[in-house]
Amino acid sequence: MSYAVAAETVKEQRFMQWVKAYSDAILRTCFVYLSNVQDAEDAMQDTFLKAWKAMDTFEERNGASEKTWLIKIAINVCHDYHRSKWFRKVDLEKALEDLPARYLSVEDTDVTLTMDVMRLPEKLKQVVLLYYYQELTLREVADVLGVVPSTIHRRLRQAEERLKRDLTGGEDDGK
Amino acid sequence: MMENNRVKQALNNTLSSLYVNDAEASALLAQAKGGKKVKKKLSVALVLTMILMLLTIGAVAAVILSNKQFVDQIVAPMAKDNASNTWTGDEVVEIIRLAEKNGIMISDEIQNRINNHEGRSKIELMRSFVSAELGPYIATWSIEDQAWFDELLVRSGLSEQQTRFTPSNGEISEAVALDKAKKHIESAYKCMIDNSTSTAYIVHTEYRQFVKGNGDIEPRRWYFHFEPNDSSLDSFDVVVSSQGEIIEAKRVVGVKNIGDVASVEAIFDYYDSEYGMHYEWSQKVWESFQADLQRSVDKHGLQTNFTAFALKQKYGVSQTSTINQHEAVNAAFRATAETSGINEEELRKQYKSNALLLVGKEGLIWKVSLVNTNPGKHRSFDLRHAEVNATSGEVKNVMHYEPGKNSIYDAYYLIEVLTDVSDWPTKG
Repeated sequence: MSYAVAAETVKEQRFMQWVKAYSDAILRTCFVYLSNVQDAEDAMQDTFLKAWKAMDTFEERNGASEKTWLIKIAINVCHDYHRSKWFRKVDLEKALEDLPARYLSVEDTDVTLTMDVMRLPEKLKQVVLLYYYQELTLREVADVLGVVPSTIHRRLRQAEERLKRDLTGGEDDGK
Repeated sequence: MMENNRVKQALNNTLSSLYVNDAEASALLAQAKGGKKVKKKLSVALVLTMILMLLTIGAVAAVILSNKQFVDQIVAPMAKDNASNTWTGDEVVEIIRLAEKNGIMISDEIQNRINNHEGRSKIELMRSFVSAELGPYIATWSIEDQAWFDELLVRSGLSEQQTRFTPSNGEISEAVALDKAKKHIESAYKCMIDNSTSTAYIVHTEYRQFVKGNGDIEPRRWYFHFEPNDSSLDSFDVVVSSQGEIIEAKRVVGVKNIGDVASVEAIFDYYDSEYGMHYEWSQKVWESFQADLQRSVDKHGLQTNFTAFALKQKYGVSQTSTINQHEAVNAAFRATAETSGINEEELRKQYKSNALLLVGKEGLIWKVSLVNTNPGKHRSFDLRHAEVNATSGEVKNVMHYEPGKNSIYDAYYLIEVLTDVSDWPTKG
């Protein structure tokens, strides 16, 4: 096997590891962000397309993990999608109806909370998805969104107030 | 992190049916390696809806659309909705939405067209979507695809007459016509274009039937253009009749032989395509242009006034005038500021200057072009112009190109600039 072929194989293996490890969470993040199954699938595909293209330049530096890197790409993709679809009237119930049938067996409280998250303004939804769902640290969330951690902290507080839920550990950054 | 992450729990429970299976994971890798998105998987609800729709209209067809199908089935019917040749902004937004809904990637080219308002042309936007699948040049598509697209334009009310076809019975095939064209090039121009060197040339093929201005229909013919990958090579155009006769053939000389060409316009066109507008040429390019003109004159004689004139033009800082290029540009900026009312400093920030020293009827003239590097969202370009007498320093013809009011070419295109010296003596 030539060096080039071997390198390509390693790259493919690494890519598949990423897909296996993160694609579900990224797909769901995109869905909550965009409130549309098709858009979420497109955004997830775009995320991995961009990741593949940029893989060679990806390096774990300053503690940045591949997960954080992938999530950052996904958030940027979703942001672009969101921006280009501002004109679309979002029907959350319709969005959830478009999900495959397993949704029917889900507890009402879970559906309600999911819809509450989906209704959040974009900036608050970002921090909830990254901090609570993707379980990134405050610093990682700040890196992904390009703002200082205190801003993330403030947005999380605002999001919690809006959700009106008993979210525990919102100020705790110790994962 | 908190022990009881209600958000994560709720989202995962609610969205548990949203996941990437093994086949889709493999497809992700395949699409990543292929560099483009695959068609999306369809949700159960969407599939059911589509099946119902298909059953309702009695159609049995694939629900995943290619770019061609998207244009054929969705965009073309929209184009037919009204008689306009351009899309409205809302229609463009809707087309993009439908494209994304159908898993069709908005290529950079399409995006650029839309951003530049070129996408407002119904034909151009439709062609852009198809080009993303079939390639940028229609003549490199298969003749079947060309005929389909042409017919589609007629069907959509965007074209009156179909001009691209596939051969009928009794007409030679594409392969036979291509073979005849290659053999003609070989015999007439001593140039081999065989299959083994096919990478050296891109073959543009069209089978067309034109309608004359008086309504007469011309016979169908094969039009071949052999475009060299190496621009230093010659290119060829050959027209073959539907029965295999060579109707017309032309050789366009490559750069290696450009100075041997008698046509000054061909030399100018070559430099224009290689180096951009003449006022952007470097001094080295300008001198090379003049050297090729001189070679042409040496070989074929002085055939046009243009050649004589162009050979006299100087570049950059004049050796003979009292006003050098720097001073001429400054004078042009000052005069433009006075005329336009725009602060000179602001003008200098926004506009890039170019100057060419020409020999006009009134002696040496600096033609100064001011090009706005950021013309704004709604303008494709913003040009100003001034002429500075290189001897006296007098500034004349300070003008701003305004669409519909004056011609950009009057001021900026060298050949047009030089038409005012058509009565110049051929020699001397």
